[in-house]
Amino acid sequence: LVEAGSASTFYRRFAGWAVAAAIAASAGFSIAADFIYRYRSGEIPHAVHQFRRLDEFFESAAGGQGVFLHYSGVGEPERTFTLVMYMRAIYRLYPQPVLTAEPGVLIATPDELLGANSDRDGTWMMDHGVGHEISLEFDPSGKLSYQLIPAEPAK
Amino acid sequence: MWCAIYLLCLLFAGWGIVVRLGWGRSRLESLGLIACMGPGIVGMGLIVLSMLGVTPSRAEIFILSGIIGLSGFLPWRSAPPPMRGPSEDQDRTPKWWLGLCLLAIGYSAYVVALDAFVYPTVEWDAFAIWQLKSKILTDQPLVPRPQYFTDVSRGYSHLGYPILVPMISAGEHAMAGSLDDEKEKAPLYLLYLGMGAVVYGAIRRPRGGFAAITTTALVMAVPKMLVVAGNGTADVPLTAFYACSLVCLLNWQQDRRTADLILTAIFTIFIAWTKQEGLEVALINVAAVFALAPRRPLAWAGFAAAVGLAYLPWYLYSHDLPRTDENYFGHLQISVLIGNLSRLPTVILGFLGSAFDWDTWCVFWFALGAAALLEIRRIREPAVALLWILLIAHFLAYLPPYIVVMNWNYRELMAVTQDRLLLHIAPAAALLIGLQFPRLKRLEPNGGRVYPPYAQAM
Repeated sequence: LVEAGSASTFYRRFAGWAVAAAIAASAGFSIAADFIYRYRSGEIPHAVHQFRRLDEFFESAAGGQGVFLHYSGVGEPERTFTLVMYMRAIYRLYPQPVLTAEPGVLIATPDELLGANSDRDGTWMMDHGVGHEISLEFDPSGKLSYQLIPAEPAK
Repeated sequence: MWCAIYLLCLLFAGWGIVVRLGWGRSRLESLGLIACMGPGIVGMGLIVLSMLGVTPSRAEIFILSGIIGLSGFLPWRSAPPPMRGPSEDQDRTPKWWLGLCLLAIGYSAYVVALDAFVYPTVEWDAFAIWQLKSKILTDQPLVPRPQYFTDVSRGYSHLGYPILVPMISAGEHAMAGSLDDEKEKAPLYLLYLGMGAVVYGAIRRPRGGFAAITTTALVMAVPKMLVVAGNGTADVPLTAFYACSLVCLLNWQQDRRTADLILTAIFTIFIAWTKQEGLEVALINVAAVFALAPRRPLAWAGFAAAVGLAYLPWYLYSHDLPRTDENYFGHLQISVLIGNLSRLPTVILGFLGSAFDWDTWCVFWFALGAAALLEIRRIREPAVALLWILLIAHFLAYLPPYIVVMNWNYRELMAVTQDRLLLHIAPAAALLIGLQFPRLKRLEPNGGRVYPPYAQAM
């Protein structure tokens, strides 16, 4: 085994302490930041609460028969959110059908989703096995409102 | 209750494999390997059954984990590895330091458990990609092919992504008897804990408890790990399987026990089935085995064949699925690489910027640089040299996708993926920090001496 000389021993001891202190500070900072993020900022409880509400909304709206999502008034800041809602509905309501366009249309991006999304009538929804349309409208300030429309044959 | 029973089944199955192949190292290293082996081996077993047309159920999980676990009682076991490492007397970590590190590890384990067991799946990729697949695999077998895999209206969920993590979560749904949006992430918690235990065990043997506990606290409490480990994505499972494969590879490099090579192959197979990036990592592991034993064709050819054959079913199943995401392999042509080579400096700087972002990594990557500079002579040690080569190879393997990407702005892609890719490399970095940890004479009563056989290279 190799033992360091006295000069390098001092250097190594100092360097070793510096690394240990930096790692301790790092772990401390990491924990403090995480603690603040979880318990003081309220971001995680808020996100969990919002998703739980969204899940309950989808379930009550679908009523076991699946949904068609229709978006209107979507501005630039809301584009990604439309895809999040669509994928959340698919995940939460599985195995119920969730549609936002004709089946078989590629939807992997917000642009593809919004490009293929248009209003459908009750007959179309019944033909495609969904019980309700959720019509989601964003006002110019980005505030979201919705309307639940049951699938009924056109009169 | 069913969640707890499922976790016990996973651990029993993991024990059945590890007790035959990997027993005799430190207790924590063995426990870590068990915690990572269990989910992987049961998940792979469920995939095989699903390809035979059977969906996961409680009975299947009991039978599968029972058979694998009970095999651990058979008399044949691999020869134990040579005992080495510091004794308890030689290796006394100061209690106050141990307490600080355990506090960091305990807090990290607690908050990751909250994400994994208590909260619903709220991370975007987790529910849209991985856990959506877990619900489909619970409900339908892989053969006949579910309509989902060809339904491009579900394109965001990346239809062709590998399915080991979804199948591990599908086991939880099957055990619960219903689709469980909260505990579907629970089995992945074992992988997080297992990764920490494996890193600790692998560092303690050559470098002592002080370096091991410090490095383990650092890697388990790093902010990126705390955010991702319990959220239901496949990044930490890939990281954990990679950590296990590295440790087993180092053990094989050191002792040349066939059992360690078999364990490396098993974890490499898990890596390939976990994420698309895993295929690159698996190829690097194959190359590493070849480089370590070029004159032992049975070892490297057997390793390569085992990994290739185990991945073949997924390749055959997925190669004709619609490509709704970026087809990196399809664009990986010399002309495209050369044409977009001007992106390279931006991509490398992006990785460096991400690695040294304090809010995401704190001092993790600084610590790697500092340890490397302070203990630069350790590069001559075989284990350290191998880890550096693997780290650099892994990093280089992650560059081409940004150079060939077509349907994304590559800068946007960098912003959303680079910190996760760094997470995959983190086990190699953590092992390097531990193996190159500077000597702390006053903290370590043994003088921070290096224990055989790593000392032999000095």
